[in-house]
Amino acid sequence: MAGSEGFDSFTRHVNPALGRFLQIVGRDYRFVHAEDCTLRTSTGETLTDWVGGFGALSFGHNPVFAKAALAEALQSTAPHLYVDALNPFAGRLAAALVSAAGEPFETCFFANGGAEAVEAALKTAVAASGRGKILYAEGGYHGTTLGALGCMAQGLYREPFEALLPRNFQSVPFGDSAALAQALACEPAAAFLLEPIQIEAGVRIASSDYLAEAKRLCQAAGCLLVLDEIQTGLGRTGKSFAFQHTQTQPDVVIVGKALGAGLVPISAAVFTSGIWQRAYGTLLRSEIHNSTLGGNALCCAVGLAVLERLAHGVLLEQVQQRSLQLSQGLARVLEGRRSVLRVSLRGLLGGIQLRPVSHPWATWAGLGMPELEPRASSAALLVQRLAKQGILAHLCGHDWSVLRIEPPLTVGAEACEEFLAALAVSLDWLEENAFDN
Amino acid sequence: MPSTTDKRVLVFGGSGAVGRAIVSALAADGAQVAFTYFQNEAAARALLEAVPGSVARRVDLASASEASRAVAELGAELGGLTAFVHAATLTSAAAEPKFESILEAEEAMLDRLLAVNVKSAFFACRELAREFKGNIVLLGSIDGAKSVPAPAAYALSKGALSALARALSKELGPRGVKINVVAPGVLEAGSSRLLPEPLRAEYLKHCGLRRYGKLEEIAGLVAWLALENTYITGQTLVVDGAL
Amino acid sequence: MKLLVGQRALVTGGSRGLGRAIVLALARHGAKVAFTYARNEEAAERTQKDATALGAEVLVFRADAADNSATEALVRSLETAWDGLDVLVNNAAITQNLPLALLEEEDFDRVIRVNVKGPFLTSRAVLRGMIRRKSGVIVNIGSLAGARMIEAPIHYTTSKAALIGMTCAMAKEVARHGIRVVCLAPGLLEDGLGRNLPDHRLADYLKHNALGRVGTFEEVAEVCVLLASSRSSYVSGETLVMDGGV
Repeated sequence: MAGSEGFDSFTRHVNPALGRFLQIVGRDYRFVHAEDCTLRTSTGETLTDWVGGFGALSFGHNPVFAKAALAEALQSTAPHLYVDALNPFAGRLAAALVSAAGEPFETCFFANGGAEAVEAALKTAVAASGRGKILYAEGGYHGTTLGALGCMAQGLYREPFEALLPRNFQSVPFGDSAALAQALACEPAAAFLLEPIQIEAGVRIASSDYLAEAKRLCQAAGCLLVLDEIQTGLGRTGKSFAFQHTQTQPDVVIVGKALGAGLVPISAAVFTSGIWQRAYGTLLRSEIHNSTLGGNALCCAVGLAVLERLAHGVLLEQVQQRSLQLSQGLARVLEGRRSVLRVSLRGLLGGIQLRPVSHPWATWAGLGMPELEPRASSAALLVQRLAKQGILAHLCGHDWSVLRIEPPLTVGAEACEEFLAALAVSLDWLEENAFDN
Repeated sequence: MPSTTDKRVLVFGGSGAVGRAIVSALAADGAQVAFTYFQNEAAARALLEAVPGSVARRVDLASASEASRAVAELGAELGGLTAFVHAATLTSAAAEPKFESILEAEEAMLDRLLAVNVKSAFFACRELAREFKGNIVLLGSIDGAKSVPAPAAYALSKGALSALARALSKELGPRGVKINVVAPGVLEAGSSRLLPEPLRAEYLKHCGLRRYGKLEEIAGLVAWLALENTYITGQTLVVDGAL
Repeated sequence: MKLLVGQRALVTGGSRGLGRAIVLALARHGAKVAFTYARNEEAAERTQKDATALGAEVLVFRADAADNSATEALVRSLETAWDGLDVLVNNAAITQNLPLALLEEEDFDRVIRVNVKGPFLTSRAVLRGMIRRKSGVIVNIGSLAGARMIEAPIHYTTSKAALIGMTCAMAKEVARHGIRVVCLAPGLLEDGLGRNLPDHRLADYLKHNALGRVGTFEEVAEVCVLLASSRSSYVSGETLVMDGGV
């Protein structure tokens, strides 16, 4: 549909710096076709997608079932937008979500993007408790709108906007329950927000013990435990929600991204019983937090189709199988490699942390981009090598030494083997060229 | 008399063989031209007739102050210069003009040669550096640009112009002045008349096009660089038929 | 002033960018213009339309300059259609911003193939006819990179430096037939191959540029016309750098 001008217009009118960078590193692909895990460019080059839309493409590109649900919803002559009225689409999806999350989850707020749902959760916690303080785990990434940004890790994404950020948001180190206990003791907090797996920080997995302790401490302090499962939820880790790998159930869980199957924007904050009522249970308060397009029919139709697919169980089983294959394969490929520091994998969400490069020509300064120092160049180089092998990959936003593994959940066994082979070749190159013997 | 055209050019040494061709080419390209002469008054007169509207003045370019004054006054007479061409040249530092060896060169003659070939260009540029914005073209020579047998004095004076152009391109560039050198090979007329026959034969043998250059082949390029050039600066363009 | 009235010209890589500006300049100066393009058919059509609107007769060929048989075929067509060729501009070129660590053999080969072998093969194909007719001009588009010491990708710079040597040797060999070969080496241009330079590199280039700006495609195209025209009839074997005074 778009001629080449659309792609050029992106560089000109949307993101000039990104456009220039992609051109420099030879990754300014003009994608014209995508199906499941495969992307094709205007010049016929194909790549396998191991970025998965940062988790939004759990069902692959152009997922047939989701497009069918969308098409069907489009045909319907029922209202697609309900304002100040009973919305059956939102109703059905909410029922499905609370069912998937399990008791005592009871109510949902629908928004149009992950950050929006995060902010809804925080606002609700404040309105429900009357407390004005939010705690969050350092190293997180919950979105870039102002409220979510207030919970952003220190660094690039946060720094220019510090002046605008909420004063009553306090960070505690991720995984440190003693620090959490101390913070909770200092001042009453409305909520403690964290991801069960911090992806941008390098795919750091919260231990079951830590989560259990966090829940206990929060409960004792009357503070809500809010888990951001926008990327970890909906099958990504091999279960409907990452918290289901532990004994800990949060008070609020947030989902998004894959909920819209990568087609439509939809997110949800799912609350256990009583919270929403405490916050907005009176008529006057019933609509003080709202979203005009949140819960619209088209998006909910897709969300419903997604949850139905999840409920079947086949997808989760597939995720577990591929995860096992990857886990074994990674162990094989990464064994004894001097370039690799750490590997983490849960379901189909993983990270490979690389050591710093030691060859001068492989640092950012050596590569001609000194302005990127002192960040790691290792994962970026790995991404570039993988691209040469037809693998589209990406690194973690807060830690450039970590390659993220986040393919569509529909990724096949063969594609996994190809990825492992490409990884091996790429790491060989890296060790030959970027690391000392 | 102020000109109605926006191309107003001063040529040092307009009465020489190459200079005359340059004046004519500039006029053909629509410029109003002022030029200097020193010895060859007859040629100057003929040129004035051949190029209506042109202005001539006798100037001893061996004098830096006369050179400077010529730029200031002739520039004012034209109503402000848009280009300057230096085509005046002495070819020999020997007592009697010839293709001399270094042993035959004499100090006084060397001084005069350097004064006309280099100093007058220097001081003209110095004068222009006050207010001028436009193109400057200096006539060099392959003798100063390539490794060819040449009288040392002449070669040195022509090579100096390339360095002058490089340095001034930097200094005057921000003010919109572009300065280049055109370095001809052996031409049908002009300085090359002193070239001994054996060297002429060698030149023809090694010149790709197997002929001397025509005066118009230099003049046309100089005129373009003076009147049309917008981005070339600091360069020495060798015009020698693939020597 | 029209400097190329009645001349027949071929430009490689003429659909976009500098090539397109050269095609249009040739057309404006009265020449018949043929040009090749590698992939972008949309752009080629647009350039053909614009050149025709300037009153020129325009022919377009899809060809990879380093593909010898395609090149020979199109030159033969041109010679038939126009009874000869007077001007060849070897403009088609590629670059890649790769630092040494990432610059591999295949990248090097690719750039040398397009940027050096392409001009050689095209020149040879065109010279066959030019030599018979004892007339013609070839303008190779080089670069400041390759002529002087500046920071630029190694393989690109090597390829452009190669054109300088090719210009000298070819000029020498074909001058006896009355044919001229020159190289035009521009510095950084607006929207050119160097357009994705990081801001600090561009700022530094401009700081050390006497005229304080990058060149435009049109400026280079006008000089290309000058070098192809009879005004430059005694210029051969030369590389003319046009860089605003770097």
